[in-house]
Amino acid sequence: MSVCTLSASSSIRALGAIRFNVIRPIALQGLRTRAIPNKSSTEGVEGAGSAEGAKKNRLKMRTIETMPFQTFQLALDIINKDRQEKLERITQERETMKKLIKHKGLTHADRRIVSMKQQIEKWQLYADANNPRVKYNFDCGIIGMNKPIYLHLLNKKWRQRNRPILMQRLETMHVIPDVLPAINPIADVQVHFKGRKVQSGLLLDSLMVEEFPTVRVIPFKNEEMLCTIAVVDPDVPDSKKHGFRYRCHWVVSNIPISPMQTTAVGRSAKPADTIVPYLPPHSQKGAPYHRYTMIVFEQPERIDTTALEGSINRDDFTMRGFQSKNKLHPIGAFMWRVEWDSHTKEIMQKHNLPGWDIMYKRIKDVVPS
Amino acid sequence: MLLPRISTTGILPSLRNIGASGCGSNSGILQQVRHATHKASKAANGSSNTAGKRLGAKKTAGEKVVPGMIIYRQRGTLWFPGENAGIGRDHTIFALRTGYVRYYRDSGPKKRKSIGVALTPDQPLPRPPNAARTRRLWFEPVPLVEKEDVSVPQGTPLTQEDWAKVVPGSYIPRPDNWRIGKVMGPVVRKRSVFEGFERSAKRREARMKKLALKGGKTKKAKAKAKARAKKARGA
Repeated sequence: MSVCTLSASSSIRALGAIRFNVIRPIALQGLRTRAIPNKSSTEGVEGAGSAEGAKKNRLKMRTIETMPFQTFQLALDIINKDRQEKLERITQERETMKKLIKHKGLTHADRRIVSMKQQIEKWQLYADANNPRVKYNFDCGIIGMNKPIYLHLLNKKWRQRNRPILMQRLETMHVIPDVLPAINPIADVQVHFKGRKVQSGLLLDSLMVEEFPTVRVIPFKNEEMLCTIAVVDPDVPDSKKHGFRYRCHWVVSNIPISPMQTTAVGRSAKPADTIVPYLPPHSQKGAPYHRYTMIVFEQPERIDTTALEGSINRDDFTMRGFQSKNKLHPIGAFMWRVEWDSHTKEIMQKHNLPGWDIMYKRIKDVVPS
Repeated sequence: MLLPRISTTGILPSLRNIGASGCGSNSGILQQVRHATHKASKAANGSSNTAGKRLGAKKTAGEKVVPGMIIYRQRGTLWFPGENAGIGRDHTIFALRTGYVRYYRDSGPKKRKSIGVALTPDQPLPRPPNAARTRRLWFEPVPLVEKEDVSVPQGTPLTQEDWAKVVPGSYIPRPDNWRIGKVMGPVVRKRSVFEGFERSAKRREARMKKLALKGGKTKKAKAKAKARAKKARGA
């Protein structure tokens, strides 16, 4: 009998701040139990103690694993049994793999070995999927990013709400045909300006976006990779061209990202190369709002910074060209908007940005007779 | 033996001609119209011809249009709205941007007939799928003009000048709402809300200190513990 449902918590918000730390590996013996503070708990069901132990028993904590309901305990037994089955299968598969590699000379890149590894990952998920302790941890924000089950649950949660919101913003504001022809985000990109988390598509104050943000990229695969972040503004007005230009605002390359290292740019980020320093977003008075699009790319290999620096021109930059030249693959995106407001003029003067003394006035269409 | 002759005289008069004329033809049987129950005044069975609705193309290919101009009137979607064109509730195709009308077939799988508006006279439609949009900037750069920072200290009463100000577009001379708001004097609170928070925080701190000194239990908790001990002794 196998209980193979991957049901995660839906619509239960984390009760506290998410702690992305390493959880000790789940022992093969059984489900992980929290240490119960009282020694008298070994006696048995709560409330059934003697007169002397009555006081102590009243202070005992109920945990998931020690719920005093017979049906619940029987269910836990079933789950535990299923888990043991899955773990046995995993060990058997691992041994088979080792034998194949040793005796038949197959390599780790072989199709058969790769499919066996994928099967093992699946069984690892199935083993922990029904564990109530895992579900509780996830709901409370105690997430071990080294465990595939938590990554799976995070991915599911992201795809349920925040990813559809991001895609809706990108498509309705036409970022997707304008900046890139198509995108399939597979990593969660979180952006914090001045410490505040920002939802994609919001109109932000120019003071808030004056400095570069803290960017977190959460990949849902247990792999290490190098990433590039590029921010482009596709709405720079060009009156000579009677249209709009693209401007590059920020490019950072060679950022190491993994499930344990999710901060790309920020306090706990690993050192990376800033190819193009951050330029504060500025929108002139009268012109329509600018959409600032951040795309997170996965690099195939380490990029040479000097070569890249030479090839980028801030005022003549297209994301499509950048992607194809450097053979990058987009894994995540983010977008925010900036309009002219009372702080734009001082910010533009402070950073010596040309055009602080210009505003845009509408030209009326001549109605053909 | 001779077969008996079927004499027509024995058959009912109404059925006499049915064999001859058949079931469908009108030749022998008279048409009967019941005039008593037929309303001649209303054209229930009359002709249903109505006036022409002047459907069809209003702008031909290559003509310049501005936003809002109707390009094609139709019943249902003979033509679909293409790039920079919109569709109304009666499937009227109209322009969303200034440009030149184009009639074309879509590059998608359905190969629909579409009407679009190209932004330049030479631009052909349809454009490649997922290509960046072409947009025109209908703005011109002028020197920056910022609004004067007109302000008045809180507590200034209204004057004759204020009452004479007319907002463009309105016939009623009245002062702006923000100017009306400046008439009242500044609000002077005897006790600010934040002072209240600070006071209650201080009181809470003092209470906790007291508890710590006394050994960590309030009066209530002490009484409860006493009652429990009594019960345990009794049991």
